[in-house]
Amino acid sequence: MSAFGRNLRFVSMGVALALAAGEARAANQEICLRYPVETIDSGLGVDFEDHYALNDEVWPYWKARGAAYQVLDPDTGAVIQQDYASNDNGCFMLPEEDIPAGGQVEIAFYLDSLILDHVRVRTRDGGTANCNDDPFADHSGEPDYCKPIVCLGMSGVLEGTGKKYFDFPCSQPEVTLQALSAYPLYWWHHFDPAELDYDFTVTVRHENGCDPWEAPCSNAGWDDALGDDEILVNIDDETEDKFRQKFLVGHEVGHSLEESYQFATFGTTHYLYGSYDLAGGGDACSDGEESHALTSLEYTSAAIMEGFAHFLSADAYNDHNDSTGRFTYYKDALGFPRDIRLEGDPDVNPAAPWESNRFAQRACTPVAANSGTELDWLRFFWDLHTEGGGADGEHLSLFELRVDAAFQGTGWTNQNGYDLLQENVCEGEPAAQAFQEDFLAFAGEDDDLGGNGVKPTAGAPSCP
Amino acid sequence: MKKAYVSAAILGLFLLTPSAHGDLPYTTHPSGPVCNEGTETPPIELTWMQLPEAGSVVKLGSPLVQISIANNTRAGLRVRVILAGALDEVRETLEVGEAVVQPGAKSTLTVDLSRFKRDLGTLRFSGRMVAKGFARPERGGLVSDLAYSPYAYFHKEGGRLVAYRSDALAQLFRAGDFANRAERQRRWAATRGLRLGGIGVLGGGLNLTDDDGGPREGSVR
Repeated sequence: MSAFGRNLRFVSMGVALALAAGEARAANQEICLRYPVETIDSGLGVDFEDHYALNDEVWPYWKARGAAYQVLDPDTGAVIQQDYASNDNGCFMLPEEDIPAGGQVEIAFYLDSLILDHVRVRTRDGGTANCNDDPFADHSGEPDYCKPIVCLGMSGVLEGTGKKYFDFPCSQPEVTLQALSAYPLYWWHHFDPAELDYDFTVTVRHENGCDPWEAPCSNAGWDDALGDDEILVNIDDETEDKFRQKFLVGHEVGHSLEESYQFATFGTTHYLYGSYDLAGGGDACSDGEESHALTSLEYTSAAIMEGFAHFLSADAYNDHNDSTGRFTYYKDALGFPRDIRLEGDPDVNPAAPWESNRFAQRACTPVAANSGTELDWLRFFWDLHTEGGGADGEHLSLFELRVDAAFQGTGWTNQNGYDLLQENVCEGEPAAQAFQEDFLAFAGEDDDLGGNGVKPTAGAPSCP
Repeated sequence: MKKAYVSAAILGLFLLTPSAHGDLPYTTHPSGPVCNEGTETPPIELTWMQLPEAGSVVKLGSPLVQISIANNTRAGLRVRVILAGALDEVRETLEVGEAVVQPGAKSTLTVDLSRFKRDLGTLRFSGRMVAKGFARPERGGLVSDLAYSPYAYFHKEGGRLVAYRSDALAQLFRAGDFANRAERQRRWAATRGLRLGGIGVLGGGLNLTDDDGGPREGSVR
């Protein structure tokens, strides 16, 4: 072939490539990020797993709501675009003119999310340290805890219209943890965005969260190395089971939400518990060698604290109108089937008393006036929130009811938390008082009114 | 109503859950976590026989992997298992089979990874896979439990299949860049102080919709 012929061939190839690239960049691209998620508390009867149980070909892909991302030029590594994906669907737009020649990009997927522009959720590792919260900043030289976890993915040619769904190109436990943490925070805020407007950060660690204790743990709280608007959630794990339990992660993230609300509202970092001193009540009401349990008889201050976190987790993963909604408990020691119906049965099944409302009253002997079970409080808060199909905007009101009650001149230690809640629902902020009628109905022992057996120190539930 | 704002006397302490059965006032609790939630044994467990730990690595003479199914319930279960694989841009699901697992017992199913449409010897980055089990009562009926295995990863070395778990992926196989094809990308992450959790090729068009099965509250999804 002559030199001219070779040149012509190269020119032709160049024109063809340019045309191909032009075709590839013929449209703005809407890119949607998804987390590959693995769970072991199947939660059949709630929406997420129903969906995946019934759709064999559907992978466990959850929307990466609010996920931080960077779009990179595959030749140079230059950042073309960086932002947070949509809260609602994990998608973002990449304008046609920003797509490099050839139509391909690289995407850096961060395990960092920003929910409603003010709630950071991120998965980190290592000992705690104060960090630059901007995931896109240069973190070299910072402690491991501050280094964002990223996954890098190379795209094919982006062409044509329609959304492009991409899964995170990594699937270590932190990806599942990020999904299981971000989802409840999105959910609780999505329906009250104008009210829960304070900034806070929830950082989740999979391992090394319990150094002072040899046993693994799961918990949520403040850390002296962090700002008070950052809540640390530890899902310490020796068995690889914990990070895959969405109800457990939802429970701990629920605690973090209470704590952040508390700090934003009251400016304090006291947590809202006493101790877990148990109140006896017989074998059915023991903690099964745990420090506390779903059906152990506890001071109401502790039962309310844990029951409210159970409720927040159940709320995130159940349709209010689903009568089969359930909470999957995550401790072995009690032995009962751990899929707990959120709507308790007024009738008593002696072989399975946890299926009944008023568990403490029916299964524990005796029941001290200042004690209760997490199970009864879970159902109590569930009933308050879902009555009449559920008022979607009342998440803040529930925090006002629950958290504000802990600050009525007491340290919320071993005591009757019911009385504080009732005082709040009778005399507190209007948002809390809005629950008054249902609160008084769902407390007490009247099955016709949906009584959950949580009750005052003396007398029937009532306002002065 | 008065709001008595509790002072921040213990500001700075790690104020997590209090000690079991203790009666100390919470302001004097030691710092640090003690709450041991999440101790349950899952109803069914899917694990990789050859890869029991997060740091496991195994070299296989054939592309056969065994999935162990443990039934921790009190009833016999019929468990159907499928396997989802991500092989560079390919996303593919294989039917593995079905096993009847007696209460408290285990069964094993074997899957041949060469059934994937992608030639495993041509992978640019580590393939990854997860198994999913649908458990029904032994005599049939609705799905009662659903569970996933941990993710596992693999690539070919010579004629052998190297399979591993997440810790080995990060520590031994450059977060999926086992053949060192993406040094620039890995350097990009390192120079910015990022922890690279994985690297790979994006799917060539996941057939998904905006509905990810998420819950509804009221009438809103």
